[in-house]
Amino acid sequence: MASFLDPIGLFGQSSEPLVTPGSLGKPHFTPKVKRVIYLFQSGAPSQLDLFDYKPLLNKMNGEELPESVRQGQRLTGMTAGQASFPLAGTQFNFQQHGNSGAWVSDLMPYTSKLVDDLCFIKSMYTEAINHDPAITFIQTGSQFPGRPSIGSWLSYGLGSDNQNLPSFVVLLTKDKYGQPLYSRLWGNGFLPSQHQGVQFRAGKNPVLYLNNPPGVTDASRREQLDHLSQLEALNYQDIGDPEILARMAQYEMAFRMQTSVPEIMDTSTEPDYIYDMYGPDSRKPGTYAANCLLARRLAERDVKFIQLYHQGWDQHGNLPKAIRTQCKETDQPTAALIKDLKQRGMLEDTLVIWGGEFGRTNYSQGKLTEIDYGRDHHPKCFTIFMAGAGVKKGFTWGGTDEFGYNVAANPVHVHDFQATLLHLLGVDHERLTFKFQGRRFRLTDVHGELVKSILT
Amino acid sequence: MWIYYCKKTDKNSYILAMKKLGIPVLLMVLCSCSVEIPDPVSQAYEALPDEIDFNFHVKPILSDRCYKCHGPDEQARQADLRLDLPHEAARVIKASSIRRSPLVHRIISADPEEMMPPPDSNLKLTAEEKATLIKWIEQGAEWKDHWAFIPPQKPQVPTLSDSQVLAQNEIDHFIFQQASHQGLVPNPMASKERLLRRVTMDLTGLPPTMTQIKNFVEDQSPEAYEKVVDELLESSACAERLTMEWMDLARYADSHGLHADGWRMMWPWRDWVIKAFDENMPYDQFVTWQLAGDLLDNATREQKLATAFNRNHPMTAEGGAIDEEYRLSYVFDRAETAGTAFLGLTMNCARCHDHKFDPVSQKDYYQFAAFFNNIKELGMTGDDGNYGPMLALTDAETDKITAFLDQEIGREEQRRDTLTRNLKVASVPGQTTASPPKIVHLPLDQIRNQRRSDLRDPAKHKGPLKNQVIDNNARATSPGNPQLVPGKVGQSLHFTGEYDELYIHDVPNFEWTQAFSGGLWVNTTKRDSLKTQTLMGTAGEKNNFWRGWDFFLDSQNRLNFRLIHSLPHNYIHVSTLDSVKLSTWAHAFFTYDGSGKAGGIKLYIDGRDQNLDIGYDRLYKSAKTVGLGAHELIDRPVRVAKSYRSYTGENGVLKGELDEIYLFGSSLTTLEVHQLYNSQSLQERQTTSDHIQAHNLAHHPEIIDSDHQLKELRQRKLELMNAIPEVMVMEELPQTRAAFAYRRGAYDAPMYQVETGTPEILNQFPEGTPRNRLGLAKWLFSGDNPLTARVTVNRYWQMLFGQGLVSTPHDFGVQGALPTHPHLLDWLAVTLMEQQWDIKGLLKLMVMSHTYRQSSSTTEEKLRMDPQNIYLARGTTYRLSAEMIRDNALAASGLLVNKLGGESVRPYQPEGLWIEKGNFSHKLLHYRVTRGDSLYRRSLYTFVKRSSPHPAMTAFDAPNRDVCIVKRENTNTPLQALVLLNDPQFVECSRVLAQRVQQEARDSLEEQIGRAFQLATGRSPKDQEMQIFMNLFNTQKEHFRQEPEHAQELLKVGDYPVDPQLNPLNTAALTVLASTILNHDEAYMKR
Repeated sequence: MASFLDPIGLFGQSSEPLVTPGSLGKPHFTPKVKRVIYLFQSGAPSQLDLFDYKPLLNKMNGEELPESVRQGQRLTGMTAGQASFPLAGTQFNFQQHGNSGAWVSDLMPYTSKLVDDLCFIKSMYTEAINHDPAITFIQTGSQFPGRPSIGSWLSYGLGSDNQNLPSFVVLLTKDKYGQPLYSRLWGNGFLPSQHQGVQFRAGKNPVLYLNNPPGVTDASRREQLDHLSQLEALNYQDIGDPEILARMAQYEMAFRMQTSVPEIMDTSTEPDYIYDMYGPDSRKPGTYAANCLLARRLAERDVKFIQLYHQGWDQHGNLPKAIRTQCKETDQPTAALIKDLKQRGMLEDTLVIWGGEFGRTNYSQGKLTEIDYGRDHHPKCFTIFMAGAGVKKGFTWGGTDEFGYNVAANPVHVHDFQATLLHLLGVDHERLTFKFQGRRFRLTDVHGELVKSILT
Repeated sequence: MWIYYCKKTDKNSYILAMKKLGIPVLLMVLCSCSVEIPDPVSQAYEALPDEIDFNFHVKPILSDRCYKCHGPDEQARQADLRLDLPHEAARVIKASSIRRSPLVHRIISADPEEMMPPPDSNLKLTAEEKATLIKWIEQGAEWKDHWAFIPPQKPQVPTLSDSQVLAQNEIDHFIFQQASHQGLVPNPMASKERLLRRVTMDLTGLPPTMTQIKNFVEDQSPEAYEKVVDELLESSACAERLTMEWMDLARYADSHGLHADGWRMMWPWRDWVIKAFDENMPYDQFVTWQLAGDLLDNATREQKLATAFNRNHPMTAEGGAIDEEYRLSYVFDRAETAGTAFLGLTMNCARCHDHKFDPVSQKDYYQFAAFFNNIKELGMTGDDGNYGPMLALTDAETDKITAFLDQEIGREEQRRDTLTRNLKVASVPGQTTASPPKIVHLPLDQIRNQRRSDLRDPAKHKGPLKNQVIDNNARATSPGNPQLVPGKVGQSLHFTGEYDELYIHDVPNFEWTQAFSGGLWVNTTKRDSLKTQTLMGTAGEKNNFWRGWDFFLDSQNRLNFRLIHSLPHNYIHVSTLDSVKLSTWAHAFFTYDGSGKAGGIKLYIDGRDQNLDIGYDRLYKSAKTVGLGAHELIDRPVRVAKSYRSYTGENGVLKGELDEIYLFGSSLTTLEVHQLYNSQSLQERQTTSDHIQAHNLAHHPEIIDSDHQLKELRQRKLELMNAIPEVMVMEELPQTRAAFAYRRGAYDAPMYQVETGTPEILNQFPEGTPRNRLGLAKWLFSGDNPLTARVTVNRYWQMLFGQGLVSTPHDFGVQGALPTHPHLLDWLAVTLMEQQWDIKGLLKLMVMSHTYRQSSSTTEEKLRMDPQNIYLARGTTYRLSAEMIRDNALAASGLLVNKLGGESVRPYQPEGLWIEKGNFSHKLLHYRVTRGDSLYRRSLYTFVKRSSPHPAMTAFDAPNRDVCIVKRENTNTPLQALVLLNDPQFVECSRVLAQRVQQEARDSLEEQIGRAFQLATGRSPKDQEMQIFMNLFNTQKEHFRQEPEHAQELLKVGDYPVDPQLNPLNTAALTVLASTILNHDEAYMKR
């Protein structure tokens, strides 16, 4: 950091905010994507009730999953004890939409209108069968804690395009419970800690410790910092350590964040039609809808990686009812975000990703009744979609067998997805490395194949 | 591009001649050949040192760029070429001959087909690196073993020229010599104030007090500094400081880390570490206890407690997790932690394949891991709580009482035995007492849908009735559909599905001091090599410690009975040697005598007392069932035909028929059991006089009285034990668990069995040493281990100088950094061993050196010559650790509460951070601030919840303790500024510091400011600084004068009371001023 700073500019009244380059200096090749909004659906949404239409399951509803399909796949301890694995057809209607004819269930009325902008991958698969290892895997490339998250890698490699905001921002839906999230999911792992995701929250303290203490006004704080600056200038004269300058630069950045963050978080200037587009929840801070709107505002200010988390997709039982709630909370805002970006021309260089950590089983966990079923974790296939820069529109890649159990064509491993994501940002996943404990680590470990077919 | 054509000649004389002529050296090197050397390489060549050393110059290049494909890893090897073995490398190196060297040819080639490393490897050699390889080959390509694998020899201490009078001890000789080679001269001594601050922060993590500053500044004696150092090393604050470092290394936390990230209690181990440092326990002993204290002869409680080190790893409680997968990950974590912490080896690389760079094979890895494989532990635990092996942390008082109670119990048991032998009772039929009182008898002859009148509490019940009622008995219900079929006696119930289980309500929640018995007729159709079948029981699931009892058929259909406090460490378990037959009615029965011992259990098949296998026999806490989450006592109905377990995929579902269920609140005699098995008529019973006699004895008043006495004594001991906290420790299994090597570490892909062993490349395992963890510790500290001492001194050097002599303290392998001062490192390592691993002695040696004591100020010249301060010609500076920054503020303000050890505390933290991440842990659902003194304890006591560590600590690079960390990041971010400026903890410190200086220096503002600055930074402000402070005070005070309510608001921050005697405007202005001081470079930087 220190080497990029101009000591004279620092102690002067103003210096043009600099863009902070990352460790790569410049990307490996011209990026199509400048920023990413990753809408993480935590708990693993059921692809079979949303996008992966399998009429055979409805036909065979209640019948036993054939062993020829399951092929001894390991199961979680939650259904491994089940005596039977009755196939569960979806209770939701599927229809084809748009010119691309993508199948979407009626749980997603808003998203289904946008399918011609979306790029589906229906052949995602992962290695973990439980939430903690699976979400850690898709977010950091390893099932065990300790590695940097995607956003941290990008911050480390590509730096920041905005000197007033962090390059990696995290938004969690408030008061929404489900499978746990962990700060390691946006953690820096072994990378320097300035690359960790900074969580922005709804409410009065949008970034931890952002606000001045009670009774301290902005003017008073400015005065304090100016005096501190004078002291440090003296100190620098005395000691000669450039680190002193670097520190003061960060104090200035902190001060700027005190203005820039609340500005971003204050959506009151958004016109009504925007709120209407994102849906009624968007007026309630901390909801998924409000976070989607915030994500757009952050993208507008060139925050490089904006990571949302929405919990509650872990429907082991009572799926039909629970998934309705989830979709009601997320469908409209997700679609609105994509539309909004498109209207602003930002979809040209922004990538939106929607998806969870694995899929769900085609058989019922627990009793299958006429009105109820549950689905267990299923790592062998799941669906995600993307929209925006660098990926094909109205396109579907990969597919599953007619049971929706195994990938039938063009499998995409989590590491492949990560490699492709980095590629879109101009980064060769094999060349963005960090040497730690004697080894060059990378997001994709020693794996990852670029999914060229989805790229424009 | 240059092309040289030269004729072969006497090289050395030629070089000499050429040097005299000022002709580039590369010219000479290449004069004997025709090699096209690119310009940049030739230029780089000139700047190379005269002698190229294999370890220091060549190996780092080979290792980093070549070993990936031409190294130890067999799987990845290309072209059947190894560059890590001299004899194999020789064929491509061709020592002394550049022209004939294929290696040289390949590294300078521009042809993508030929060049090395190949383009698709994403690896490149710089011009300097190419030149280095060329020069090394030219000089004869001499190989040396990797420096770190050769045991350190004590080198000669360099003699210094007279001018270097600054040298204080041997360290300086080594440092100065190397600095002077670089043309660097060490700085003079730091000012007294700065030096005192530096050494006090370094050795205690706290700033010097006003008295300490005054005393030291005034003490003109030559021993003044040494006196201070000795005092600091003696202080318990020093022990806390050393413990802070150790907690990172030991990945200490107060939560489990994975998934639910629930509560664990390991702080007693942390307190043991403090104590050990406080006593300056020799390091070899300190580590041996932690690795293997449990294996020492007659291991003491402390020695066992120390082994909690190995249990600090994260654990999962995620439902559905595969137990073995996680158990192995814990084993690997222990091994890798030991590898990193003590050996400085990246063992973890060899989990998936032979190490790509170091001579550590995959087999080495799994042999090393095998040391840590041998404890009885779970892969998936419950959300909250500790899991075995455990150590009960009794105190001396409790020990005394339990010893007394044990004695009393023993005496009473003896009396009962004597009575049994001597009492005269009848041994003929016809004189037995009536049948024992039943708790439950279900004939299983009827079943019908539940009616509202069946409900025990109809008012509470809403919604439709779903249960089946069994035998018209409201206490017996089933939510499923067990079928009525002809049975052993009348009808029986047939269980087919997994939802057919039966519940028996209102059964006492048996404590293990209570005798009880039960049984039934079973006709099972299932035998599954992976599954059990529950007959009946109350034992729970992971989130209530599986507490209760259960009676079940195992995978071989043998009868089993367990009485559980908590798995895997506190329960009793027996099983029969014989199985019940498939598709045949068998009478299965257990009796338990309330002794808490496996020997008190009897199992019967068809009325016959069975020979038993004792699976586990250690029960010392309550077996009464508890609820999920809060773990409060909850009576659970007895569940029949299915266990209460879930999440494991092993739900104990019974298939087949059951009949005639009985439960009794006493231990039935064999005679009574037999009667239940065959109740036709007394004549038909195959009873013996022994059985009758035993039965009559059991019902003799004196025996009953003795049983009563015993129960009371046991109950008293139980109540005592119930309150004893327990910590997770190591305890070796009596039988060695087979250890394997696994393909890429995957639990389900074992490749071959391994025995315990240490890496082949290192020293031999000492003869006659047990091949267990204790042996491992002996090996680690044997004189010929090349790594342990070096790694240790390096880590402590890093603690004091910010950077180790090896800058990669976790990696002494070929990919790690080379020592900047190899001789000093070895001298320190050997000295440490000679001085019996005396850590405080080592620290003293380091801080007494001039190298440590010199001023840290720098000049542009020095910065340019040594930007990283590798040669230590100036004092080192870096940002202090998260803990030290907070502790400094607490100490400066006087808020710091100096209490040693105890439960982890929860100081101020923004609300909602825990619950927003997950709601699985009951105990760690919400962060609740612990008020009072706990707000002001040293930061090493701050609660560490791994998935959501304290954000102010994280901001300053405190790790979340997922893995062993021996070197923290040291960053500079805007979030750090926000913490120091706005965190209520720091705002409160500023306010209380403002109050303190007003109370202590009543007369002058300048004095107050000076004092505040000195308290927080250790030195007095200079005039210019004072002016700035005065100016700030005046403008702030003016501001508060205009808006007095602002002053009131600011003064409200924090729990600490406002001093009403003081002028609030002054306090508020001084608070801003104190905050500025706490944000001053010298409050958070080491200078």
